[in-house]
Parts: sequence; C-alpha cells; structure tokens
Amino acid sequence: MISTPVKPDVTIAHAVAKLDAWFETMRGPGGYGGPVAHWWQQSLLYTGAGLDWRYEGIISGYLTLWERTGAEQWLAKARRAGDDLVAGQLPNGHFVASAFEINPASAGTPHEAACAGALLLLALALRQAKREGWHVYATAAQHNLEQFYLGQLWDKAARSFRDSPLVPSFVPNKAATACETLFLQAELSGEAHWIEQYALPNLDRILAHQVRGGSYDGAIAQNSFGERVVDKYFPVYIVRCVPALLRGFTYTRQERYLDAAIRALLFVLRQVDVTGALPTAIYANGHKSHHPSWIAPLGDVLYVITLLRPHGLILATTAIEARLLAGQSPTGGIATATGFAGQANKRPSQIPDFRDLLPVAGWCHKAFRYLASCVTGELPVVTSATYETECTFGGRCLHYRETPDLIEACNGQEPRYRWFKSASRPEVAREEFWVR
Amino acid sequence: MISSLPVSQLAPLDYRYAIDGALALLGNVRPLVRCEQPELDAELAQRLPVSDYMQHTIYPSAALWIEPQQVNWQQVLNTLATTLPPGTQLAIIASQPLARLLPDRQTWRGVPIGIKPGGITRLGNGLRRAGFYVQAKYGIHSVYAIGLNSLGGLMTRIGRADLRDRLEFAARLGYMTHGVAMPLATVALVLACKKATVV
Repeated sequence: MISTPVKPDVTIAHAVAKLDAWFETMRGPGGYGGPVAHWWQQSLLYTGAGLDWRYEGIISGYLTLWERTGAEQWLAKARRAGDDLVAGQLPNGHFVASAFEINPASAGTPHEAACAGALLLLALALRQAKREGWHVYATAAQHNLEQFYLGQLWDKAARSFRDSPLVPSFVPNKAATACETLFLQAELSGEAHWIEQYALPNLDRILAHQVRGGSYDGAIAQNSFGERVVDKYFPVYIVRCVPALLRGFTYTRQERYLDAAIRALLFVLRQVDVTGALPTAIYANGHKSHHPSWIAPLGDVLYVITLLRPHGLILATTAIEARLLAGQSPTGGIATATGFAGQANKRPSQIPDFRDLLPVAGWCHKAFRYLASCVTGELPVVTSATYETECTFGGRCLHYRETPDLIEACNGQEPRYRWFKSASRPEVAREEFWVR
Repeated sequence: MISSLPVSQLAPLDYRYAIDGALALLGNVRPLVRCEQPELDAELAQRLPVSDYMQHTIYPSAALWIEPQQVNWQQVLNTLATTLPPGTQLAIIASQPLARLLPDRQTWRGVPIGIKPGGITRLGNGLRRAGFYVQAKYGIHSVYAIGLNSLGGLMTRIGRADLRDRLEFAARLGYMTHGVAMPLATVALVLACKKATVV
C-alpha cells in the first residue's frame, strides 16, 4: 500500500486555480449556490445559496492557500465565506438553506456542524494571526452548537447526537463532523467540557458502529435507529469519521481511536479499483453499488489519507487523485460522478447522465480542500471557460453546456434545463428535472 | 422566511414536489398565491418572499392555488376568473384520494375538493366553465412509486437492502406521472390558462 506521495506540481496548482475561478462563478446573493446531485435525492430546482458543508472545504481551502502563499486575497475569500454564514444565520442558530439535497430548508445535518466548524477554523486562524474580527465568527459557531446540537440533537440517554430532534437516530459520520467542530470549539474557548461531555461519548458510539474482523474490518455502519444498526457502508462517509477519531486520539492518546481511524481508511482503500473509483454503497450481503461512483467527493478520501501520514501510514493516492483531476472540466468545476443513470437498474448509459457531469459546490469543496493542501506556491492566473458535451437525462439525449454564467441542457434547440448562475431557481426546468 | 424551515418540519415530499413543479411551470414570474391549507404556508414561505404571495398584485401574470376546498372552491374560482387577465397561467395543487394514506396529513383540517373520487374532474369542468383551458395535468407520488416503495420494504425484510435502494431510486424516477395513472397519485398538479374570451 506504499506509494509515491503526492507531489505538489503544476497540475495541482492549475487545478486549484481553476476550482477557485469556478467557485467565483457559483456565487450569488447569500453565497455559493447551484443545483445538487446526490445519492439520496437531488435538488435541481432550488439553486440559490446553500449554507451547508460546502463552506467546510471552501473556508478551509482558502485558509490553507493563505497560509501557504501569504497572499491576502485568499484570506479575503475565506472571510467573505464566513460572512455568508454569519449573515445567513437565523436567530435560532440555524443557517438558512443548510439542507443541501433537501433544500430549501434549515437544520441540515451534518451541514450546520460543518458550517460551525468552518467558522471556528476561520476564527482560530484570524486570532492566531492577530487579526481583527474573529469574535463574530466564533460567536456564530457557538450559537449554532448550543442551540442546535446541544439544544435539540443531544440525546442524554444515548450520550450522542441524534440526526433529528424527533427520531432516536445516530449517524456516525454526521456525529463525527459535530465532534470535529466541538474539538475546534474547545481549542478556541479553552473549555474542555465540549470534548469531555459531548465529543468523546460520540466517538465511543462511532466505535460501536465499526466492524471488527472479516472482510468488512474497519467499516463503519451508516446509521442506527435506537439499538438497530443499519448495516450499509458508504466509503465516502466512513472516511468522514476519520478526522474526528484522530482528534480523539490526539486529545486522549488512547490508541483505540487511532486504530479505528486506520482500520476505517484501510477498509475504504480496499474497495478502490484500478481506476481510482469506489463503490458508493456496500451492503451487508456483499452487494455493492457503483452507480453512481463519486468523483469530486473523492477529495475527502484523499484529505484523510494525508491526515494519517503523520501517524506513519503512507498510502497510495495516485489512482484516486488521477480520477479526481480527470473529472475537472474547462470550467474548473469537477464532475460529481459516473454512472448515475444506472442507479436503479445498474445499466448506466453510454454517455454521462446530467447529474454525472454536474459540478456541485457541495462536492467540489472536498476536492478544493485536499488540492489546496498540496499547493506550495503562487497559483497561476486562470479563468473559468465553457464546457460542452452530450449527456442523457430522463430518457433523452441532451446537449450539456456550462459557461461562467449558466448551466443548461438542451434537446436540439429546446432548453430542458437552464440555470443562470446566481438565480435561486432555474429559468427552465422541464418535468424530468423535477426529480428528487 | 426563505429556506428557514427546519428539515424536521417539512411538509410531505408530495406537496413540496408539487409546489416546486408548479413554480417551475409558472417560470420566474411572481404568482398570485392562494393557499387554503395552512400546513403548507411555511413551504411557500420557504420558496417565495412573503410579499410575493401574501399581497395580491393588481395584474398578476401567474397564479398558484393550493388545495381548493370543497366548501368554497367555486367562489374562489370565480374570483380568480374575474381577477386574472387573459393569458394568465394558473397552477393548482390538489390532494387526491390516495393522499388520505399520508400519515403527515391525517391532522390537516378541511375537505379538499380533490380528496373525494371525481373531485379533480369536477375541478377541471369548473375551470372550463370559468374560462380556463387545462394545459397539463400531473400526478405527484404515483401509485407506481408507492408500489415500488412497498416492494422495497419487503426487500429489506428479506435481507436485500441493495434491492430496496434500487427500488427506491426507481420510485423516485417514476414519482411523477401523466395520463390515465394521474388520478392514482396522491397529489394532482393542474396547469390551466385563462382564455382570451370567456365562453
């Protein structure tokens, strides 16, 4: 499993610069917007700003670029993103449109924890650099944690966060995102109770969802309802448990957290094929779903590989990284997946599904966070260009086109979908695009 | 407020889907909105600024009527017929008989026109009498999707969660229907247009 570590090079610097240019095209009133394609459902009709986990990678990525290059423009973009979150926070602590694929709605999980975590990263970076204004980001993050996570989702009996105030449910990767945020909150405030009282019990419950032994060793079940564990395994969600487990190890020095993190990542990497692709879902009965197979979300897998390097685990990234970079279009956006059209019947079309091609801010941020961490110097100056290709959707062959101003899919001259970037709804969305 | 309703308080997908579909059909114009089901007010507020739907614009170019009620649908329709200028599109969202199966709407008050068999036909006839012609009808949450979801539940019980998920995805693709299957969906979405001359 040992291979060449990632070499910061021209290709990655160019990819990061293109992603930055693309993110600029996705800005509208309130923040970064755009349609969403996802495993669970789609949000093609709400296209306004989404204050969800996209801010995790965007703020983290820009802060990393600032740290690596010293260029103030990156800090300005991180602050602008933080300002989006602060402006979009409701009096009850929630962020508007925080539900990603379920938008429009607030109280999205793990999205609000990811937003709060991003705000805390920003506050910590500003405070460390002795810059003004970090309090406002810290205050917004704490308000969300107190009102939502502690106020509504904390399950005293189970000593963990629920996924919904109304249902006794637990989702390890979502709880892990909340734990990461709690560690940051403790770091900023100097108060250990955020970790001792809330984060560590959640980490222990995550460990209880991890498989030990056999071919699934290291896998972490997707969720549970009460005592009933749903034994489905989603590699990109399993890796999202790793950063919190590592923080747990760093804080407690208990090997079980590091061991769990390593086992989780090794399970995921055992699923990677020679093209760098991962199954999206792995079932207890051995069946796997490769439809869709993620591209932009692979950024989280690569990011976690880099997190484990200081712990002596040097792992291959080449194939995964190649798949990620190959998914970047001339616009700078990175395609979401391959094989969406086969999600129900396992028979993907010869040409990509519209959702495969669609670059989604809430997926591309993952690639951005990882790629930004590989940058060592100034980025080239690039722009977002036009990208056109054929796609299929709703049984039709369509012409897909993305420019800095719009994303559209046309059947000949007839637009079936047209979203002018920055608008909160598409101008045209024919019936097949109503799909959730 | 736009996008502020918590996930745990959302209306059933049937109605959210129908509202989003209606707004897509009406384009980007500001519709006059008449919502007769208070439980759906928040879903409207999620999508339209309050000023868009609470205030009746003088010359609306589109209108959205949600859950016409048996008790007054004809009066409301007559009002719309006299208010809306010719060429105005009117989208109507109405529960159908299968909507009675939705657990979330068990506590909803009122008797919608569409919830009884034949209700949507009566509404269509009323629209024509009031000077509208029906452009399109959609059934949201089709009986096909309901069937696939039920089968998916069975698959889970026999240890085939993989098949359950695939059935769920197939159900989503077939969630909206047209034609003869339309009355067998939980919710109807009807698009009508005001004629130039009332016959």
